[in-house]
Amino acid sequence: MLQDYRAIQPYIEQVIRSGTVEVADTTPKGRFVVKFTATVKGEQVVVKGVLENNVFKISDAWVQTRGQTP
Amino acid sequence: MMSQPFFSSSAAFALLLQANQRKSDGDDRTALALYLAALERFGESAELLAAIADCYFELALGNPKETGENHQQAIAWMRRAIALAPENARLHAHLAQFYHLGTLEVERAAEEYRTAINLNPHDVWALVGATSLSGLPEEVVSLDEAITWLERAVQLEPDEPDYHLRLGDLYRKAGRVADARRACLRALLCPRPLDPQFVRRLEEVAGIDGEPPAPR
Repeated sequence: MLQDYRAIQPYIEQVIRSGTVEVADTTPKGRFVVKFTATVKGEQVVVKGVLENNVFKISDAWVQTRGQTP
Repeated sequence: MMSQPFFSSSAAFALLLQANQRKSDGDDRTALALYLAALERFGESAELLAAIADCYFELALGNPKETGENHQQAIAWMRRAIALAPENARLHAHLAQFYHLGTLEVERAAEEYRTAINLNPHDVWALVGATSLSGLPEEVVSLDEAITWLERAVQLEPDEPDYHLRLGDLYRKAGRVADARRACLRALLCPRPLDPQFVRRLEEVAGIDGEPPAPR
């Protein structure tokens, strides 16, 4: 699992750094659940997590357009 | 069940006031200990069990080294709360979010959100939360279903720019370009401005290219 994460970490960083962000949800205590979306190597990648005080805790990430031409 | 004295007990108020202050300070661990003390002393109620569950969820979110234990605890305590109050829609919505963000059990999350919406079709928080499950690889919520829920949420809470933007995004995914642009415009007409960090997304959803025209 850790090895898998290390392999995809640069892509996740790229998505968070360069992607567009939107609010996906809020937690009961009012934290934003946000979704970053960016195109990496022709694939649309989504990273979702909880944002508070400029700290982003990733909960999930996936490729949205696998096999499609962006 | 929680006994009647809890609601009239000044000791209970004192405990809950302390817990409230701790939560307000971001000290969820101490708040949790206070809720557990209230449970020990006064017995259980759905609301108290849910407060304990929410503390575990907050502890999980706030811990970069979270192992999943706090998420599991949050789920277990919320399930206990629901066992006492199975008709409480909001508790089901909270549990759904724990599954979605905590343990990534998105099918269970969708199931709990649907239960919540069936119990209370006007719970904006549940409607919006359920919509956040659309677009996942697991396809547990269809695009049409998400649009229906978010349209209802926007009717119930028309002044929230984020909801309009998200609805616009769903319309765009459904190929409803004109509706997407209309929703984005609506987001920009809310009393509260759209947070600048989300403006780029709005431009993408609305399909806006280039510089906007200068005001005359």
